[in-house]
Parts: sequence; C-alpha cells; structure tokens
Amino acid sequence: MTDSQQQVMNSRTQNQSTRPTPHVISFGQLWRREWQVKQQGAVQWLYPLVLFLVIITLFPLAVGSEPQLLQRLGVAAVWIAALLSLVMGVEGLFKPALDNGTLAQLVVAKASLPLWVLIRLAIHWIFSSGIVAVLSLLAVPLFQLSWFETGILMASIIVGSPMLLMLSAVASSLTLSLKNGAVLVPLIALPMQLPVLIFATGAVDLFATGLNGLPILALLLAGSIISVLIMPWVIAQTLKMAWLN
Amino acid sequence: MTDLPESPSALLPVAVLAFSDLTVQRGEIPLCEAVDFTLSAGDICHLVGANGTGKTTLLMQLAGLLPILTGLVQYQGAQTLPVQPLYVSHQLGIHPSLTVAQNLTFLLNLYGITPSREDIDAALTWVGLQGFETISSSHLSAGQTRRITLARLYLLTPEVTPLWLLDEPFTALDVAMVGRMEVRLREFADAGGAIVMTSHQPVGVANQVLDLSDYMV
Repeated sequence: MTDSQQQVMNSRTQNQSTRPTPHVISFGQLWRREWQVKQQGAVQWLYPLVLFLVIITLFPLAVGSEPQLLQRLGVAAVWIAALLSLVMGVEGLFKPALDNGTLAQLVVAKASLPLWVLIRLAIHWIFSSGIVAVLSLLAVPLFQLSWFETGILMASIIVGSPMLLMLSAVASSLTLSLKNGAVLVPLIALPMQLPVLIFATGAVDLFATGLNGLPILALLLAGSIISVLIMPWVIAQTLKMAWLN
Repeated sequence: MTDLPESPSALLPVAVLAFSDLTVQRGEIPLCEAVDFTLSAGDICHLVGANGTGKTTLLMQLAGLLPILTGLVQYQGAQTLPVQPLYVSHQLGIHPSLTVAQNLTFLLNLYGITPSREDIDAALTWVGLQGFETISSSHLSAGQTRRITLARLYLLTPEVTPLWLLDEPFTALDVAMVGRMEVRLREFADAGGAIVMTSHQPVGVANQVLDLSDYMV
C-alpha cells in the first residue's frame, strides 16, 4: 500500500461517526416472504401430505377390517406415516435457498440467519405436521379409534413433531453441500427420531389403557421446546459452512 | 498536503474500503497473494483478470461469504469486513415461484427498505420490466431475471449501503440496459458511494482498475 493510500485510510479512521448502522429485515417481512414461498410451492408440501394419506388409507385395507387389530395398530400406523411424511418433506428446506442465492443475500445483508431458519421451519411445520395433526382425525373412521384416543394422538403429534422436524432439519443442513445428500437425511435423522416415535405411541397407549401418559407428553413437549430454542442456531452455523464447500 | 490518488477520491478523501497483503483464497488453494488496494468514496473499481484468477472469490471474501485468512481489511476506517454491502452475484437471490414485485420487495427489505408501490413501479420501469409486477419470476428470461435483482440499484443510496460489490452485473443485459446501468453506477459513486465490480466487458465509468493477474500465485 502506498503512503498516500495509507493517508486516506488513516484520515478515515479518525472519523468513523458516519459509518451507517445496518438496517436489517424485520421479523414480519421475513415471515411474509417465507409464507409466500410456501404458498407458491404447493406441490412440494402437498406431496408429503398425500403420502401420509395414502399410508393411513392403505393400511386398514391391507391389515383387514378386524376392529381390535386396527385399534391396536392404528396409533403406530398414523405415527409412522406422520414421521415418513415429515422426513420426505425436508429435502427442499434449505437447498433451494442455497442454490438460488437467497441464503447469500441474507448473510451479506446481516439478516439473522437463526431467525430466518426458525421462521422457515415454523411455516414448514404448519404446512406439514400441523396439517398432519388435523388429518390424524381420520384415524376415527379408518382405525376405529375413539375420539379420546384420537385426541391424544393428535396432541402427541403436535408436541412431538417440532422435535422431529428440528432433527430432520439439522440432518438436511449437514448434507446441504453433498451431491445427493437428501438420501442421507433419513439415515442421519431416523435413529435420533426413533425415541420420539416410541415415547409418543407409548403415551397414547397409556391413556388408552386408563393410565396417565401426561408425563411422557410433557417430556416430548420439553424436548420440542429445547430443540426449537437451540437447533436454529446450530442449523444457521451449518448453513454458513456450506459456503466453504 | 499529501498527494491523493488521481480519481474522484481526490475531492473526497474518504477510504470506504482498503485491504493490504490480502490473500485471495478459496478453501486451501490461494489464488492471489499480497493484494493491496484502496477504494474511496466516488470510486468505481473494475476488477479484471483471466478466468480463475479469483475475482468472484475476492468479492465473496469482501462480502463475508468466504473467510479471509491472510491480510488486513479496513472498512470505513475500522478493521472489519464491509458492513451490509450490496452484493450482486451469479446467483441472484430470486425465488422462481414468487412474482417480480415480491422478489424485489424482499431484496429491498434486506436493507431495511420498505418500498412503496410507486417505488417498485419506478424501479421496474427503470430496468424495463414495467407491467411485470405480478408475473411469476419463473416465466422470465435470464436477462429479465437479472434485471429484477438490478432494479434495487435504482432505490439504494450510499446512505443505506455505501459499498456495492457487483459480480458481472452486465451479464445477459442488452446494450441499452448496460448504458443505463453505467449511468446509475456513476450517479451512485458521485453521491459518495463506492463500487467494486467484475465484468468481461469494458466499463467506461470505472476510474480504477485492479488486475488480479498481477498478484497470481
């Protein structure tokens, strides 16, 4: 660097008051953008829901119409269908944003990446597990579950699915820079998600047999809250690392 | 009184960006070493060099997307990377399923600007996309898609973002649009902004040239 260039730099160093403060995008603007993206990409979020419906519809047809057998298998079948539809739907969570440059624009503009991740996942949850929880009411006619059992089933999906989604999202972000990384997402996420599946179905069974399954639901809720509080920061860091590869 | 570089910065002795002994590096591979440069308010720097010399990599480093492992970077006098520069890259930040207006609004929201409908109309008219507000971006050509991201240049001022990092902004643009862009770049620089840009075409409004070929490893 020449002396004159150093002089210019030094003169500026003495007067930093004019440096602008970053004006970052607001929560509402980020939410609106992600909501628009989700609305416009209906095919992507409808596909896992159709998969869920196909599984829970075909299951009774394959097992047979014996009510006791259907009632015994119903909760597990609905939960497995919910888990599979959730895992199938995470492929497009971050990859398009990396490929089309949205992620780069967010980083350069100093937007809060964890906040963006949280909003994106919250909207994804509404359009996936939120709707799946409502669709689980179909367990009443399909599996001949009681309204009480189905209500507990719905509650278990609502409190357990955020944790499932966060675990899938972490796996998705870790495989972002890999070719065909989507194949690895279930392999990474499913072992971590199995305990949620076991606890959730166990809680519904406890209620069905007249026992108190509330502590298990509370445990699932606690796990979901903790994962929602922590995972967006973890995912944001892994997304930043995707640039390096 | 010291001699200042022969550029508009002579009138405005304000170093927006300076780096010294910088290594342009992607991963483990250094592309250029010991790069020294100072960019003042009013400067438009044309970053040149053959393919693979690290032009895009340098812009990504300055934008904070790739790490700077060696060298000193000063932005507005402080040892820091540029704070919230405008960055136009090959990947445009355009979501194909959103409309033209929705995409442009988001790109402006990132810089704290909430554009009115008149602002959107004016910016899109400037880039020749008037009447495309509600059209899905997936229906546009490559050049038209690029114009969406360039439309924000019409509304951004040095007060919002004093530094623009433009990676081949003229790609896929017609001659008339390139002419309009050059006028806008000069307006921005004259208002106190600074620009670092790459282009394989001559940039008539540039008053500085940084040839990375001189620093190749």
